[in-house]
Amino acid sequence: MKKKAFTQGFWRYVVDSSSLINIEKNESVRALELRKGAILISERVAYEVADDPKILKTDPLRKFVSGNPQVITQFQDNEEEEYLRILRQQGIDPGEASVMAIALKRRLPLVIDERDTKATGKANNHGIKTLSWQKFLRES
Amino acid sequence: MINNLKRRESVIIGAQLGKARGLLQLVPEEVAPELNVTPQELLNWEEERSQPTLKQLEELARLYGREIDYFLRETPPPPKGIQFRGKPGQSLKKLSKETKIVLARFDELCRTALEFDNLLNKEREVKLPHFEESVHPKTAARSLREEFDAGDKPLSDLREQLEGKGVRIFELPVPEDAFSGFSFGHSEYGPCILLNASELKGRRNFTLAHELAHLLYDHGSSLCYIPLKFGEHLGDLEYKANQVAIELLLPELGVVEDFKKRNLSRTPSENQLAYMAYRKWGVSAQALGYRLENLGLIKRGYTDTLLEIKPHFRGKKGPRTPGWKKQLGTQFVETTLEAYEKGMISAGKVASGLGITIREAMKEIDQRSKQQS
Repeated sequence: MKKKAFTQGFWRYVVDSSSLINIEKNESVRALELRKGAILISERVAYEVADDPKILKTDPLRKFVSGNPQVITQFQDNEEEEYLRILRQQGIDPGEASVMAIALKRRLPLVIDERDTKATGKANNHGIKTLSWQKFLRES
Repeated sequence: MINNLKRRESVIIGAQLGKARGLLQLVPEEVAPELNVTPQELLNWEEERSQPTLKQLEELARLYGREIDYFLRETPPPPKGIQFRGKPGQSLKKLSKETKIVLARFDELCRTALEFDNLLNKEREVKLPHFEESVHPKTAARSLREEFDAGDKPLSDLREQLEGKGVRIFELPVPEDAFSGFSFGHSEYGPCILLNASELKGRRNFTLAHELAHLLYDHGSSLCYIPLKFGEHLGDLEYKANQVAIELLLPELGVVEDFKKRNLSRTPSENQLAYMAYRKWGVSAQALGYRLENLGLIKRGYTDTLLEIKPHFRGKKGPRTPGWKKQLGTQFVETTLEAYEKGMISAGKVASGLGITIREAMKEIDQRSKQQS
């Protein structure tokens, strides 16, 4: 029980691509730097916001992710299966499905762009606690 | 990373793996080495005796030109019995891997478009006429022009007109100029046309009209290479489709009147011909040249003395539309953004549907919401 509390206390938030991009647009990548120990992103999200060759090398988010590889997490245990199960549903893309699977299995809150009603609704349907990127920044 | 997905519940649909490979006409021996597995292992996945790892599934998606979700859901069957109406000896088997991937991407675009239509409960009504083989191309073209209310004027918005009639039209760059266009009538997608985005706009427009003719005459799935020199046509059906395209895009009365108004000689300069072709009629200079020859307005054989004429006059002023938007077409882009707005798809799905980065997708979403407010 103690171990679980520690894990949750250390890795506190899973963040999706839209939220990270909104944070970057809000010129708040520094807030991510300050909380780099408290955020997790999937490999797929890392690709979408940083590793995709179409993204400029000077991009602040790209710099953040490449400078802090510890924020990227791989799937564990049965998260792969959960990921595919979520992805099978219509209207969700691999990036969102991957963070949802991680948040669901590790029981972590998911930072999400709440304007994205499809992703938010889907996450809530799975019982994932969500919070907006603005709230995440306020809590930082 | 977990290496093997457990078998207790089959998340990956084996038949979909087989279907994706089948469209590309790849044998297990060709695919297996790319994944460092045996051909039998690949067949085991397709028969659901075992399942690939996520990494292997992602690699299969890349090799087959599919999104991962293609392997997780039953999808409509791809077009069958493709007729190769272009380069001699061409067949699906002989197409390069890269060209076959383009066909798979086209199928994915049609599938995505159908998925978004279904999510939005949009009934796609197909309002295209059908012609018996005995109907003369001129008659078919005239009937279409009447339907488009085009008179003898240029059909500058043929793509939009056809999309309005339920035809799904996409453009993708085709490697090695392997084909100009591909069309098929599908039981679920409806009529679909793919154009080679690497060709110039005038040629693409001609190909669109050419492929339309194949659909109207029910010529089946047609993959066509339309040579620049019209004399090189292969077979009666190609000749017929070209005739419909010429009559549709270059109506005799309108072209004769325009030619006379321009006071052109029987050997107009390349630039004069290109300007009239691209700017006014939306076709290549070659297509217009052959039409003018047939109408007796320019010297016979003159067009063949010209190489592929590329327009070198300035384009129209104003903000440029990004290439991906032109290739996907306004209707598909609008449907995608509408599906997001109505909470049917996520932002990431907008990006994957439009084939752009999530940053670009969010920019499009923001622009649309600004326009609407």
